[in-house]
Amino acid sequence: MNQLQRHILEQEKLARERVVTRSGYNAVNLLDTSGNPQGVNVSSGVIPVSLADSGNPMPVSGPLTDAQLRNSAVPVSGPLTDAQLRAAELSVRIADCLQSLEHTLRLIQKPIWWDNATNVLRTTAVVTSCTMAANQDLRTLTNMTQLGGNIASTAVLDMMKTNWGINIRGRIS
Amino acid sequence: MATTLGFKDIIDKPDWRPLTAALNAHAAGISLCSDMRNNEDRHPEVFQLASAAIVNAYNVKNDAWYFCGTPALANTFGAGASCAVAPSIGPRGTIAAGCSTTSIVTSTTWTIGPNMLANRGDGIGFKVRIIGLTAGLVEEKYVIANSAAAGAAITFGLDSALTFTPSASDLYEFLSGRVYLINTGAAGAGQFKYYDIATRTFSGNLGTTNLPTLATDSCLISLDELYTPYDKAPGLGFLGTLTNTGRAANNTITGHATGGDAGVLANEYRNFQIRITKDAGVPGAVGQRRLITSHTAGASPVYTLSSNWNPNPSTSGVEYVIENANFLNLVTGGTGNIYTYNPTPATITLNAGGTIAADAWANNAFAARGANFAAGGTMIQAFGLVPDTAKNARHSHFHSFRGNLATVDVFDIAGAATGSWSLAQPIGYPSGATLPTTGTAWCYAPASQEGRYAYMILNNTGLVFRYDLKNRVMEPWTSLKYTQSGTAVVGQRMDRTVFVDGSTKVCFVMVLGHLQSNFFDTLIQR
Repeated sequence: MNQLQRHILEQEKLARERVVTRSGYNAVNLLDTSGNPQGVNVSSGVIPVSLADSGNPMPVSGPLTDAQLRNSAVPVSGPLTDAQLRAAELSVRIADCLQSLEHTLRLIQKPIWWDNATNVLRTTAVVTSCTMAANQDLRTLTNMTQLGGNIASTAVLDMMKTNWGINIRGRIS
Repeated sequence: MATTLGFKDIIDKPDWRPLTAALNAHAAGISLCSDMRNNEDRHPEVFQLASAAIVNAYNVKNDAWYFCGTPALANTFGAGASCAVAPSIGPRGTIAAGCSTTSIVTSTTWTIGPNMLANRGDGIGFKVRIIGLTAGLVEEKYVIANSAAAGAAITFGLDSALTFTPSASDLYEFLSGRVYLINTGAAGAGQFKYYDIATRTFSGNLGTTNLPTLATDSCLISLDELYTPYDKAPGLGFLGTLTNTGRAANNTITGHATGGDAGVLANEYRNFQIRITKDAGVPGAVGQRRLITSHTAGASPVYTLSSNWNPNPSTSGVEYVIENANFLNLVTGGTGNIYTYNPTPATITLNAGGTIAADAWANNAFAARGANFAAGGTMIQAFGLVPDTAKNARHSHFHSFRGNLATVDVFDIAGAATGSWSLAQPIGYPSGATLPTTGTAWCYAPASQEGRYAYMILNNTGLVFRYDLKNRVMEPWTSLKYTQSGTAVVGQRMDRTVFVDGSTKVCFVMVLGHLQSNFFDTLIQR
C-alpha cells in the first residue's frame, strides 16, 4: 500500500466517523437541523438531493446564463407602470416637437384673443373683428353681412379679385 | 395694339370682380343708371340715385366713386324711385357769328369753368353736334377746350375740323346726357329733376302733371335717339344713314328702292322718329325730327309723319336716319299704364292724338298693359340687336317683366298707333326657379353679344340670369359668390358699361350687393 492509498483510507475513515450509518441501508444518513435523519438513496444509480431551509429562499451566486434563468417565455400581464416599461429615459429629437414649439412662439409674438367684455376679437389693443351682439358669437354668425366690412369679408373680396385677375384678365391680351 | 379676347367655352368660366365699394349702400329705391351708347361716346360714369339728397357717380375707368351733389327731390325716398340717362339730351343752343371749322362761338349763355367741357371724367371731351342750317350738314365732334363764363356766351374748340364753317343761327347740341331722377310718392313739385352731366348741375323742378303716385317699384326707360344696334354707331339710327327717293307730301318722306330701308315691313318703325342729317337742296331742313305715324313696307317705303316738315326737305338726296323718338317712359307699381315724358325742347305730336310739350308727361301716349306692374319688374327695349330674317325680334319690342311671373310681357311700340301688348309670353324660364320679385334688378347690355342679352340678379340672392331678347330664353349666368342676404328690398342696383378698343367691344355688367355697398362687375365673355 503506498502512501496515496493510505491517505484515501484515512479520509474515508474520517468521513465515516462524521455520519451515522443505518444498518440495512446502503445509504448515508444526513440529519436535518432538528436531528431527523434524511436519507440518500443510491439504489437507482443517482443520488437525489433536496435542499430545504424551512421554505426560505436559498442564496444563489452567479452569474447565471439566460438559459439558466428561464426555460420558457415569461408571461407578462398589464397594465404596467411607466417604470416597469422602461429602464432608462427615452431620447427625443427637436424635429419631433418643432411644430408645437413654433405655434407657441407665434402666440407669444402676436397674441390674439377673444375679449368677453366687448365681444370682439383683439390683437393687442386693436379690434380685429366686428362687434357682435351680446347674444351672438362666432358660432352663431350665419352670413357675411354679420361680419361686416372686417377681416373675413376683406379676405373674400381680395381673393375674388385675385381670382379674376388670374382667370379672366389672363385671357385678354 | 388691338385687344384680343382668348376665352374658350367651358375652360374659361365667367367670374365676378370686386370693385370699389359704393359711397352709399343699397337700400329700397336706390337705383343705378348709365349711358347705353355702344361705343366710346358713352359717358364713362354710372350714376347712383342714393336718396332724395344724394346722387353719386362711379367712374368705370378709374374704379372710383364720387358725390355728384344734392338733387333735393321732394317726397320721402324709397321704393318706387328710379333714374335713367338720356345721352342725347344736354345743353343746346344757337351759334353766333365768328366761328371757324374748329371753333364755335355760342350765342346761348353758359355758366361754366374753363375747359370743363374738354374732360368728361376720362380725359376725353364731350361730344357736340353742329347743325349747319346754312350748309345743310350735321356733324359731330369732341370738345377740346372752352372758355369760362358766368351767364355769358362761350367759345369751344373741336378736336378736328368740320367740313363747313358754321354760320350765325346754326345750332349746336351737346350729346353729353342728362340723368333723370324721379322720387317715389305722390306726384308733385320737386319729385322729378335731372342732373346735367356736362355742367354738373341739377335742374329745378320738372313737370309731374299726369304722373300717378309712385310706389312699390318703378322702371324709367330712355328711348334715346343715340341708342342703336350693336353694329351701328350712335347717330346712325337702326338702319344706318338713308337717302330719300321722294317726298310726296309735307308730312312724308320716301325711302330706298333697294338697300337701306327697302326691306322694312309695314309700320315696323311706327312711333320712331326720322331725323334729317343732310340736305344740300334745302339746308334749313337739317336737324328736323318727326315722329313716324305709319309707313308702308319697302321697297320705297313711304313714311307718314305726325306733323309737317318745316321747311320741307328736298324730294331726293336727303340723308336721314330712323331712330328712337327720345321719350322717357315710366312703368310703376300698381298700374299698367305707361307714362311718357318729353325731355326735348320741342313739342311732339303724338300718334295717340294731341301733343306732348317739352317737359311734360302724358299718360296715354301708349297703350296700357292690362295688368299691373309689380316689384322686381323691368322694361327693356331690344334696340341693340339685329332682327332675325323673319323679324320675330324687332327694335320696336319692349320686353317687360312685370314681377313674380315666369313669363314676359312684350310691348310693341309699333304694333298700333299707341303700340300693342302681348302679355305673359313664354320665355323658357328655368322650371322650378324662384320667380323674380322684390330685390330683383335688371340691366341691358346692348353693345356686345349682338345686343341680345339683358341681365338679372334674382331677389336677394346671388343668382344671376340673362335673358336673350332675340330668342326669348332665360339662361343662368355665373352667380355672385359673395354672400347676399337680408330682407329683400327693391332697387335698380344692376348696370352695365362697355369696353371699346377699335372693333373690339366687351360689356361689363355691374351689381351693387343687396343691402350692401359692395360693388362687383363681370365681363361678358360669351
